[in-house]
Amino acid sequence: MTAGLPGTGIGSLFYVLLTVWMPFSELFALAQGRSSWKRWRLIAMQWAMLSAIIVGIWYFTELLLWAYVCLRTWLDSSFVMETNTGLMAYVSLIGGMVTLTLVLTAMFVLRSIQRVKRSRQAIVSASRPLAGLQATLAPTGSLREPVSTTV
Amino acid sequence: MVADLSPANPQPGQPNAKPRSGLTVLIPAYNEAESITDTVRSIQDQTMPPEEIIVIDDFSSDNTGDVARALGVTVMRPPKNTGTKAGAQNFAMPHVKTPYVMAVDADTTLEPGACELLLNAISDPAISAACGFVIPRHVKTLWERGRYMEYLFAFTFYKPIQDFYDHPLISSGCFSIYRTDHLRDNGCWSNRTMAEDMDLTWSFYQAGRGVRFVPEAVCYPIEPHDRVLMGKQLKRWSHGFIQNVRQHWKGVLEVPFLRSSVFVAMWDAVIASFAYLIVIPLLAIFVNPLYLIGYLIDIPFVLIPAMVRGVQRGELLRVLASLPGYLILRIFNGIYMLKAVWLEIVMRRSLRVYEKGH
Repeated sequence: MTAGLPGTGIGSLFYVLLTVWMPFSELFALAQGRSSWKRWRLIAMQWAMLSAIIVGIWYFTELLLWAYVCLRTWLDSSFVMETNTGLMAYVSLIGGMVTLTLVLTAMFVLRSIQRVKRSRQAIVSASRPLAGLQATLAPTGSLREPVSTTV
Repeated sequence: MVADLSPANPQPGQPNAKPRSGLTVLIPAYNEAESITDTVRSIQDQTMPPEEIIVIDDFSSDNTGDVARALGVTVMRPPKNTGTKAGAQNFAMPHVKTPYVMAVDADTTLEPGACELLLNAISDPAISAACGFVIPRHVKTLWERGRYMEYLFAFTFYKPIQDFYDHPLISSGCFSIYRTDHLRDNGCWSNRTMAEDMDLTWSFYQAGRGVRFVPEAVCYPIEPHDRVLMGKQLKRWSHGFIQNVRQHWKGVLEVPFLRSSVFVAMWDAVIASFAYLIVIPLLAIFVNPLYLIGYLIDIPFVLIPAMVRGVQRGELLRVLASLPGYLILRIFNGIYMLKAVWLEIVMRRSLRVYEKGH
């Protein structure tokens, strides 16, 4: 099965950035003696595809814009393209990068919150045996004062 | 070769030495009389055949069990329908005695070396599961073509990257191998979500275990050929994805790389679907029709990896002819995903009925 919408949204950008990072990651692996020719071949293949994708998107966008202008001119001969498509492209790219950064940042914030929660729970559960002991002994007057279990 | 060279196995050079694979293949089947023969034959014809093939005839109303029995494999039939693929596979697990177990869908055939390739991958003790490249067997209808493109793209571009970073997102349920003891430690396949393969993969990662993707090991499932069957499958997958995110998100946060790919996939499932189905049309109507190119602008992103694989397979024309199917399937994907998010997260109505859609 596949998850989500492959090829759509910030996922595309995420995998583009991962591809860009691949050789640098492999250099770390090389330094640790974990690299292999098979992995470098994969990197070369992914980079070749990514290069073709970038060039492809560039020219395909040009083609789409040309087709759009032709269609609009055919429908209305006085049509003049006023939209700054270059600006649109940059805004989309930067918007995608910002969104991806925010999503990943949100994930790390969530992870930090979970870790804090977990450590608090660990402290509470560590204190429980003493609390139970306190409740057992309290009626006899052996342990009347609250015991701090925070460390 | 496979790392199973225990004393019980004949060593190379011995007369009639036939390496033992240490593998049992489980084939859950419900009314699969038409497709089970091809599946079993493709497994029997493997370069490294399994020691046992078990067909779990999940209380079929057709003669699936008889067809399988005639092929010389073990057939098990539960006293009543287990309700899910996970249930059927779990039913056979007590019978598995080999160190490796493989799950193959009853409508999926394998290339002759596929088992051997996955056995090689899982011979690494750190690896608990390995999966292969999935390509639809029939590519005729619009829906099959859409799925063909989706798989060619995802398995050529996304999955090798995930594997490079040691975390394939899913070990596909239609064709995966597992270490039997690790699978048992996990409680085998869980019924708690509609996507038992994703559930198992993410559980392995959280237990500190590894999963591998082997692109050379190719399998060919039969994909939904019409809208109704595709709808059932998309419903199951989209709900399964959301259910797994709900089930595992805390654990996933502790798994490097997986957490990023899951969060990004979840974001896209919600926001990209919403943008694709609602925002782009509204912008095109009320702001500028130019926004409609948003539907087409990323075509090279999908098409180029698919073409690369298509050229390798000698199927370039088929790839090009399948592109419209992908664009239509993507819209349906978005609809089902948004619906699943709404029902599972907002309405808290979790999908619990497993509807077979191939």
